[in-house]
Amino acid sequence: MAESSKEQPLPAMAPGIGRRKGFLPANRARRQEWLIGYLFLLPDALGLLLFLGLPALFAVYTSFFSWNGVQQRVFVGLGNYTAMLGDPLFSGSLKVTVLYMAMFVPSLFIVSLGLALLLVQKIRLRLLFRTAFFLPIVTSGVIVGLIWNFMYDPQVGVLNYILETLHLPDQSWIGDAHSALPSLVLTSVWWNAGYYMIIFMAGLQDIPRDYYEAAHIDGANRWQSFWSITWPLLKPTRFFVVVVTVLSSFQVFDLVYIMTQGGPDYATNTTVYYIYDQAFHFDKFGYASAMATALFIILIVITMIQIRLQRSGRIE
Amino acid sequence: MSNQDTTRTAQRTGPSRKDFLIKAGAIAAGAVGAASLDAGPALAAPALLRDRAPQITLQYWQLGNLTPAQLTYWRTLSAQYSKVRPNVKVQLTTIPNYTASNKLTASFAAGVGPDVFIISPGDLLRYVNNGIAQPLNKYLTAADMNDFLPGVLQAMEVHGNVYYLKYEMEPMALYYDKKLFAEKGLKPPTTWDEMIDVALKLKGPRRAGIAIETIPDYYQNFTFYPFIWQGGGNVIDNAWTHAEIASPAGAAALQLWGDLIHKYKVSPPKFIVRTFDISLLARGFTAMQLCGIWAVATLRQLFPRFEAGVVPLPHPTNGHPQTTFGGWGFVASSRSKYPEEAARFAVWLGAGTDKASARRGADWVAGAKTDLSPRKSVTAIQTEEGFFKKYPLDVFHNQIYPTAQPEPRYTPEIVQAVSKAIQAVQFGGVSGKSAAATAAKEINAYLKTYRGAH
Repeated sequence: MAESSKEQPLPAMAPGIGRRKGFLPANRARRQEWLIGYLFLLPDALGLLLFLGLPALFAVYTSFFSWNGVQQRVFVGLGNYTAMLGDPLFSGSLKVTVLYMAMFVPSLFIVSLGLALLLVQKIRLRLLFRTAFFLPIVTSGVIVGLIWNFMYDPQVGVLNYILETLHLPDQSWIGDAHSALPSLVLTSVWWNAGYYMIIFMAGLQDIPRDYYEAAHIDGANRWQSFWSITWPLLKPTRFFVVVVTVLSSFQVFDLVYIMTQGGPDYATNTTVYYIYDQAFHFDKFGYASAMATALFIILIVITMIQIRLQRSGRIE
Repeated sequence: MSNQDTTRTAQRTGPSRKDFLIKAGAIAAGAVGAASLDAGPALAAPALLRDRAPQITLQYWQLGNLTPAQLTYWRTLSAQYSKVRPNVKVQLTTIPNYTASNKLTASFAAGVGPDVFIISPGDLLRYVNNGIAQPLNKYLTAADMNDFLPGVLQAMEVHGNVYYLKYEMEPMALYYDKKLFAEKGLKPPTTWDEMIDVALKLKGPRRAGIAIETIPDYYQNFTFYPFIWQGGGNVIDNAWTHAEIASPAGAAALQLWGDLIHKYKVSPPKFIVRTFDISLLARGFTAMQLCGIWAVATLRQLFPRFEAGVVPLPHPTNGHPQTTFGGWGFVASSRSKYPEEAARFAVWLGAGTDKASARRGADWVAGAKTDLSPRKSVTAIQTEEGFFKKYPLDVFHNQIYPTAQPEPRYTPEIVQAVSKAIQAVQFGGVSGKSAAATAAKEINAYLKTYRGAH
């Protein structure tokens, strides 16, 4: 009709893309599609704004005040931020978090990719194995923490029982400042590996079989196929897994809360746990908000660096 | 109008949509009007009922891990209060993981905190300094005040105002496995050296010599403080001007708590449950355990065949017996919509010298629990009923309580400094002297800027 015919003289425009009249597409059908799309997004967007956006803004605002959560806020400017820079427990918590990330991200990556490579093969009972490996992720963090607490128990835990059976010395696991963080990482990897295994499997199944067949005909062995086909074609999946696990490792809280409460001797005092501790045990809501804001900025910077590196091709 | 529309109109046999809406509206308006016409007498008549019916609801928060008998006790009391003050209804809420969770803090921050709640002494200054705890003096008579045992009233006061009412006293003691001690021909220890010696002798592949707390929190500090006092030391001076933890007594106490884990290896770095759970001893995970009087009831209910012995906490050779007592107390919130009613309810729960109120107190400490009471009137009932004749309550009453100091009510910053010191000796490979010096430095820096109550 008349409106459509007016849109015709736009040769440079890709097919199917209607001319926009201001913000909305001019084409009625496109406009309707656009509207429906946004209507679908609306509940989520509202939820995000209401339950994440506004509280986050409020936290940034609170970070400039001294506030115990009950009485009047007292404006302290950047006081909380300068206090944070001189707080050894905060810098210690960042160190713990970075250490956790350095252990968690590669371990989880290797384990979940390994599982995915195994279970994408046509092996017997693979569905059973897939379900078994995925099961931990449907368990709540509290339950996982409690179960592993029992397993790590130095007196009656199954892990020390196994060590004893093998005539190896007992370990204190989460009761020792040196082994507590690696023990938490082990639990976390066990808990999350199934989920990332599924993501890797989806990535692996997207790789056309023809490539492997062609490589096989050309005489490539499995290892060569993996490095020349699987690894490069898994790039988007790998990037996603690394970004998400890096971010999640900076937010680790539940296992720390259940299993170690930041101890022993602050060996597992991650930043998020420390923020929680300062807010809810010390009534320092302003200070905790400043630390939360700092952590938010750190996460944004890390994510941007990851994206930049990925785009520049320095990391695949 | 199009032909199609004409046809539709002609086909209608019932009322039109417009007619229906008008009539429905009229009926609804009529109903509302009739109700309003009747409202005068309808509201006038129940006015008497309203006076009798509960008009005020007080939110009362208690611990979430209560036994059925304890829960029944608080439920009964909450219901009873409506008979005392007919216009007040008490809504009891039990909060799981009361001390560790953020529910209480978050609820006050959100402006929906309870009217009456309980705290442990360690939290008193926190709630006084943030203005939530309201003074209760004007609701207490002189007799009510005098009913509290010597020293207890001071522990509940800040600058002469009573901010919470303690309803139980829970001293710490050393529990031991009687049968095991008899088998090995050992006597329960009275000094630190004896404690180490006995622990080394009783330690086994699946059994610790002694169980001390290793998780950093208020409870760990609570169980640790007596070990400083036993040598004549303290965390800070009474006037809150400087730290005293770096004294030889403080350093020695810290050294002991580190040595029990690392040097002598008689206490494991972590237990399967917290050490306030006496099941560690009763199930054979340890030969001795630091625990409070609450364990007596647990042992009776859950481990009736287990023979537990109780002695005062061992002290250094050149020191003296000393322990601490904790126990919960009621606080009335100043943020309550009905602060006066909240205060009245808290006082009804936690004070009073008449027979009924003493009975209420006794039903808790000698019925729902096995505790000591901070009130003379309640203790008199316990004595009359032979409560202290049974072992080991006689030990608690006659030997342990006389050496007990109330749990210190330090601010979170001081608690944290001590907690860091304990963790450092237990897990950081730091000596008691060094950990005490670090804690003293932190506490001194904090006390210079502290302007709150003490």
